[in-house]
Amino acid sequence: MQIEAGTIGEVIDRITLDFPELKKHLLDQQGGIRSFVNIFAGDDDIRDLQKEKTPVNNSTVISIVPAIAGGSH
Amino acid sequence: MIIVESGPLTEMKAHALTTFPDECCGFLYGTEQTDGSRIIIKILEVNNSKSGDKKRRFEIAGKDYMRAEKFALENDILLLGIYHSHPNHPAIPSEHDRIAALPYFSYVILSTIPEKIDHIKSWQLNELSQFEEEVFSPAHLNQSI
Repeated sequence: MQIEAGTIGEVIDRITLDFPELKKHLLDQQGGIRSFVNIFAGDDDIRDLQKEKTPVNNSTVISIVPAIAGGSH
Repeated sequence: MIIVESGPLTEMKAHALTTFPDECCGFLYGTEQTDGSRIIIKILEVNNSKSGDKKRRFEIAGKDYMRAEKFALENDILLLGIYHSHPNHPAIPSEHDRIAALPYFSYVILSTIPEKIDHIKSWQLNELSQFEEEVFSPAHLNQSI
């Protein structure tokens, strides 16, 4: 999907507005991005950039990636 | 039911034994039948990126997950799940496994002991976010493999 926005935060706002069911999967109760959700701008994790304030432009490819983890005990 | 072809099954078991006593992890690819059963035709080994105790934890880096999805798209196969090992522990998902688990995916767990795969089980989350075992073939769960 294509979204016009200036920052990652605006992208998330738009997605959760258009697809309200996604909100509980993407955001925690405080409205922050859930710890089990990774968001990439291009090849970079936004946690290594400016998080929700990371700027985007009309060529930025944004990937929402689940954290895969677990363990025996 | 999840059916794992002999090639990927052999690779998965070798991966689990090679990484022992650490946990291994990787992706499962294949096709879905009309009855919901899954056939795994390919695996993709990935590095356990967990910093800290890899003997009882695994983690897959976000970039590896993106690479795994891209592989599925490029090869026109479905990304159907995750496999990982439980060294010296039964192939039963822990609470750590459950909390981080995703719906839809099959979770194949290989219980490993020194130089041997003890047993393999596969699990899927149900609507209540609890794991339910799915039939694993060809090697059934509690048989010697």
